Amino acid sequence: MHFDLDAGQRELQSALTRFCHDLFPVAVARESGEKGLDRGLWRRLADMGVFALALPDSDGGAGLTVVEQVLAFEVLGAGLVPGPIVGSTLAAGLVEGASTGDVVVAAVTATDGPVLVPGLRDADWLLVLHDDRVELVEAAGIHGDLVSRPLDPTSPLTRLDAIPSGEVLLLGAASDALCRTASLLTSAALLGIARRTTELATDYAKTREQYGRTIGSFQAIKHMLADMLALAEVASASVHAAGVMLADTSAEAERAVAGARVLAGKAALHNAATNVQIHGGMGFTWELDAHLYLKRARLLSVSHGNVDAAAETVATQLRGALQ
Amino acid sequence: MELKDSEADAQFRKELRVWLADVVPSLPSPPDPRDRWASRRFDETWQRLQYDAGYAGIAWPKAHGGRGATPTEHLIFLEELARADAPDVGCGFVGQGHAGPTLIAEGSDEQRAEHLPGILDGTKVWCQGFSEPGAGSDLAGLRTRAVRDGDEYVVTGQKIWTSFAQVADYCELLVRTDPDAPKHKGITWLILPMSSPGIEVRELVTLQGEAEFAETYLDEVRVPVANRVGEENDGWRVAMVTLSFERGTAFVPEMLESLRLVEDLARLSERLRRGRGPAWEDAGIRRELGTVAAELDALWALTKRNVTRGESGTVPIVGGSSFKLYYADVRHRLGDLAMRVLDQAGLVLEDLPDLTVGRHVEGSLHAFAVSIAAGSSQVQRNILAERVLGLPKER
Repeated sequence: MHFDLDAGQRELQSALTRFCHDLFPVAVARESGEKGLDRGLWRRLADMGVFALALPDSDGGAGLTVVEQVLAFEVLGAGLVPGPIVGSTLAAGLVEGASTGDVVVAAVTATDGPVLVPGLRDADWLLVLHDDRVELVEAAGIHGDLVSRPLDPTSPLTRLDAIPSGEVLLLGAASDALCRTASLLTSAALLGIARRTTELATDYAKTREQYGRTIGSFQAIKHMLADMLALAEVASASVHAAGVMLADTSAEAERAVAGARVLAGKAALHNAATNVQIHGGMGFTWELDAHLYLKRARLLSVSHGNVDAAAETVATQLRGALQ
Repeated sequence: MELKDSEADAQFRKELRVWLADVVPSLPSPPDPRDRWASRRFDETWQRLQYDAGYAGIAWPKAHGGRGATPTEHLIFLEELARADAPDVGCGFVGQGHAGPTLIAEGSDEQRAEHLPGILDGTKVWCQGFSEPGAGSDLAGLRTRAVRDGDEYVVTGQKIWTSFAQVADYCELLVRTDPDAPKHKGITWLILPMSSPGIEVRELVTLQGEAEFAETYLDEVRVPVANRVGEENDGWRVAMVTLSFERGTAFVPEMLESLRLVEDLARLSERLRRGRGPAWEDAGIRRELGTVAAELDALWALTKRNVTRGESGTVPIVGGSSFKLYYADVRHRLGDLAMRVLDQAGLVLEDLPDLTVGRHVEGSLHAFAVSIAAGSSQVQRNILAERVLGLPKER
C-alpha cells in the first residue's frame, strides 16, 4: 500500500496548475460563456495532454490511468476551466480528433425531465450516456435552444426536446466503465472547487479587516474555514481512492465512485457557498468570482449523477455486500 | 498511488488471519464490563496470547521488545483484528498506546527495563493522570502540585477521566513542579505506583450509565524522584511526545467498528417498520445510510493516506485533525440515524428479544466521547485554522 501521490503525479498537478493559472484565468471562463469557446486555447489544453492521459502511447496518449485523469480534473475543476472537458476526455480514442482538440465533444447522461446539455453550443459531437450503452450524435444535427440565462454563466446550456439518438459506440461493461469514469472525473472537478474555494476564503479572511482585526482572527470565521478544509481533505481521500479502485477494476469500484460523488458533491457545494458567505457583501456581486464557483459546483453536482442518487447507490451496495 | 498490499504485507496479513482464526474462537466470553477485575483478567489473557504469538507491542521498536511493524503493518493488524471480531485492547490501552511509547522515547534504561515487559505481556495496567477538573482542553493549566522533599516528590491534587484507575498498577502523572514559571514550563512527568499511600479513586459514571472513568484524588502522595521521566519542568514536552501517539491510529479500531454498526443498521432497517413499510423502504433513511457509509469509507481511505504519509516521517496535522473532526461528526449523524431507524426500540440501552439494538443506542451516546475526548471538535478546528491554514492565533 502506498496511498499518496507519487512524484510524477505531484508534478502532473503542479504543471497543470501553472498552465491553468497562465492560460485559463477565470476571465477566460467568463468570456467563454459569453462569446464561445476559444478553439485555440482548447488545442493548447489538448497539447498539455489532458484529454489523452489514459490513451496508450501508441495512440498519442500518455499511457496513464484514470488515477492521473482524476488528479488532472481536480486541477481543471479548481481553475474553472471552460468547455466540455469531461466529454472530450471520454471521447479520446473513440472519436477522431477529440484527443488532439481538433474536435470538441460534449457529453450528457440521459435522464428523465428537461434535457439540458452543457457545452453543446461549442461542440462538434455529443456523447449520450445511457444505463446500458453509449451513443454518439453529430452536434450539427441536433435541434435545440440555447438557454439565455444559464445558472452557470461560464457554461453554455442547450435545451433539447428529447434525448437525441445516434450511433451506438459502446455496450455492456465498456459502457458501464465509461459512465463510471464520467461520474468520477466530474467528482474530481467538484473536489477541485472544494479545495480552491477553501484557499480563496482563507486568503480573504487573512486580509479583510473589520472591527480593527482581520476577520480570520474571529473564531466564527476560523471554524468555518476549518470545516471547509476538513471537508475537502476527506473528499480528496474518497475521490483518489475511487480512482485507484476504478483503475484496478476492483469489485468495490461502484460503491467507491458513488461514495466519491457524495463526498465531493457535499464538499464543493458547502465550500463554494461558504466562500460566498465569508466574502460578505462583495461575495454577492457579479464582479467577484465567488458566485462562479458556487454555480459551477451546482452544475457539476447534477452532471453524470447527483449526490442523492449516489447515496442510494452506496446504500444498495452496502446491502448487497451483506447478503 | 496504490491501495493493494505489497507482497510482504499480503504475507503478514495471511499469517495474521490464520492465527486469528485459530485463537479468537478459543477465547472465553468477555465478562460484564462493570466487573472491572474480571475485565482486567480477560484483557490480560488476550494480551498474553498476542505476546506469545509475537504481536504484542506491534508498533514498538524491536530493541524494546516490540514487533517493529511498519505503520502499514500496524494498520493491517488493526484491520484484521476488527475483521476477526477480536477483543479490543481494553485496560492495556494507556500502557501500550501512551505510557510505553513515552518510556521508549524519554525514559531511562532502568525505567524501561522495569516497566516495558509488564506492559507487553499484559501483567501491568496503567492509567493516565493528565486532565484535571480545571484543566481539560487547556491541559497545560493543570494544578496538581509536586513539592520536592529530598529524593521524593510530595504530590497533592485531583485528576479526572483516569480510565482504568480502579485496576491500574501505575499512573502516568503530570504534576506542577514550578508554579511561578509560564504554564508550559513548570510541568513534570512522573510514574506513580497506584499502591502508594494517599491515593483515593472514585468511580465517575458517564452519561452512558457506566463507570468507565474515575476521579483520582492525591493527598501528599510520595513519589521517588527516580520515577521522573525526563527533566524536572520538562514534562510538557514529554507529554506532547505521548499525545503525538494518540492522534495516529488511535481511532482506527472504533472507526472500523462504526462501519460494522452502519452495516448492522442497514440489516435492522429491513426488519424494523417505519410507517407502512420497513425502514429500508424510506428513501430518506436509505440515503442517510448510504451517506454515512460513504463517509466512513472516505475516512478509511484518509487513514490509509495518513499512515502512508506517516511512513516517510511527516506528521500529517491536516490529515489527523481532519479525520478527528469529520469522524466525530459522522459518529453523531450515525447515532441520530440509528435512533430514527430504531424509533421506539431506541428507548432502551439493552437488547430487546430478537433485536440487538443496545449497541446502537450506546453508540448514539458514545458519539459525544468522540467529539469531546482527545481534542474536542472545537480544539481540532482551532488546530486546522491556525496550524494548517495559518490564521491568527486565538491569543
